[in-house]
Amino acid sequence: MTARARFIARVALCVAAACTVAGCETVSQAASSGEGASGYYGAGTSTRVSHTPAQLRVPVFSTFTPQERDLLDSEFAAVILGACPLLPDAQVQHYVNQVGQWLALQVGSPSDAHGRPMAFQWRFAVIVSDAASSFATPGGRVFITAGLLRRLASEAELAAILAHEMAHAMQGDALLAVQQGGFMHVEGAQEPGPAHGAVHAGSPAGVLRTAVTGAMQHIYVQGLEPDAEFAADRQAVRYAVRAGYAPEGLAQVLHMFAAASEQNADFALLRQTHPDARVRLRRLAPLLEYLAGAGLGVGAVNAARFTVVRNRVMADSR
Amino acid sequence: MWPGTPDGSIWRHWRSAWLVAWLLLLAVVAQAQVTASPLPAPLPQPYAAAVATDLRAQPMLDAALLQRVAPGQQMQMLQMRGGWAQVRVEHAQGWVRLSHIRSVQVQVQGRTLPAQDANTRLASLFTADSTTPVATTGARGLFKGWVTSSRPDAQAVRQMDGYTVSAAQAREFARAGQLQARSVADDAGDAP
Repeated sequence: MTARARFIARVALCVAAACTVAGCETVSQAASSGEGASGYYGAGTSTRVSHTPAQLRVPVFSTFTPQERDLLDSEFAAVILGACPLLPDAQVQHYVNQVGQWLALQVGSPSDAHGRPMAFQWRFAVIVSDAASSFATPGGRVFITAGLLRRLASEAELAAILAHEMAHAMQGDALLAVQQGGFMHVEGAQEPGPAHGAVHAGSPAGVLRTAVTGAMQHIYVQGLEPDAEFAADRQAVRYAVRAGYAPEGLAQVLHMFAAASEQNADFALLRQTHPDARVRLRRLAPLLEYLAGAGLGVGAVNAARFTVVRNRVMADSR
Repeated sequence: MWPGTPDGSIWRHWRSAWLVAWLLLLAVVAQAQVTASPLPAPLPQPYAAAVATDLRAQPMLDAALLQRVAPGQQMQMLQMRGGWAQVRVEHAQGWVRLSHIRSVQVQVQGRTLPAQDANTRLASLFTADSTTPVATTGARGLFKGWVTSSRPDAQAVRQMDGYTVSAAQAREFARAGQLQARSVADDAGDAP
């Protein structure tokens, strides 16, 4: 395998991962291969991602330089925005960024294998699509479709979705997907190893784009492990509660997902890429009960100011 | 936007509608007193018990048992708290485990199914955890194959960056929305 081929493969798979993060667009039935999903996101036993009260430690971040992550981030965002343009409403975009940045002030930063904190540049956007979907990139861009936003009932629900995507980015799910399986698909590829110069801004744009979109398409179909989604759900609730929101926001969204008709094409992508909403609800219930018992069962919902924004989105979508 | 309308079983008994209205008003007032935040617009909603469960006086496992609830029993959800939902079942009101109930807002091609059909449909849905793959068509922008057909838009990425707000703006936004930061550990609620 030539150095160039290896480079393309690496870029492709990196971004493939980015797509998974998109998290929300990933498949429920993805095989739990290799080291087994059960230990990754479970409490206490994880060797890859450790949730401690002090800091989330995500060793996979050490595999990529911040510059590589930024590059992938921009490429991935460009592909998303090429398919679904920004909703042309600055007031709506501003509102979603305010909710997101307030969450960002609460989530902290995960650290890599060496304990170095990983900085995220959080950015948020509403994109034009009727599909009920949300995405995240490895570097901290979060997208929500107008089709999903206008089906929500409150700011607490919006915060829960943004927090779920932020959790995917902070867990390094995209990058982990690259390590776990991505390289297996490349003929002749050796152990991943450190990414010395594998991805750099000087790469030919055409080569990069082709590799990026190909890899994104691949991951888009294959998707994240269900455990990654369950873990992101739990973190989302914790982040939302930290930010002062009622803990039920995510559960209400999941009830809405579960109630949507199987014939509704707007939910097809979501169903294809996520564990069943009813299963997610069941997995979430113990945490909600714990929070209620810990005196954190209430919080802000902010339905009124959300409704103003939602009405704008509905008007924009006509 | 929430599809569907309240199911017929409540509204058919229109003579008791005033009582329902009063109960809902009381519930909303009670909620407002507890949390000082408005209820989300779509509540109350029609739900049904997915499994046999207990209606309790408080959202706690050791709270007084009000009545047993059979699978498929229709109810209206008034609010959620913790892992619990406050519901009204016929003329009783209490709390059931959130994971024991299911929404019965089922739409087929934009038409809300009658409650009976919804129950039948739910019964089959709840027997399996797995999802049935559905062809991804018809959704603007995110149709099947959207990634490969996308024409990457770097300018839109820069425009997106322009929508960001500062930490100070975010704090002001939170203050206006009465959002108060709280401490929750990353492993809160996980098994020890």
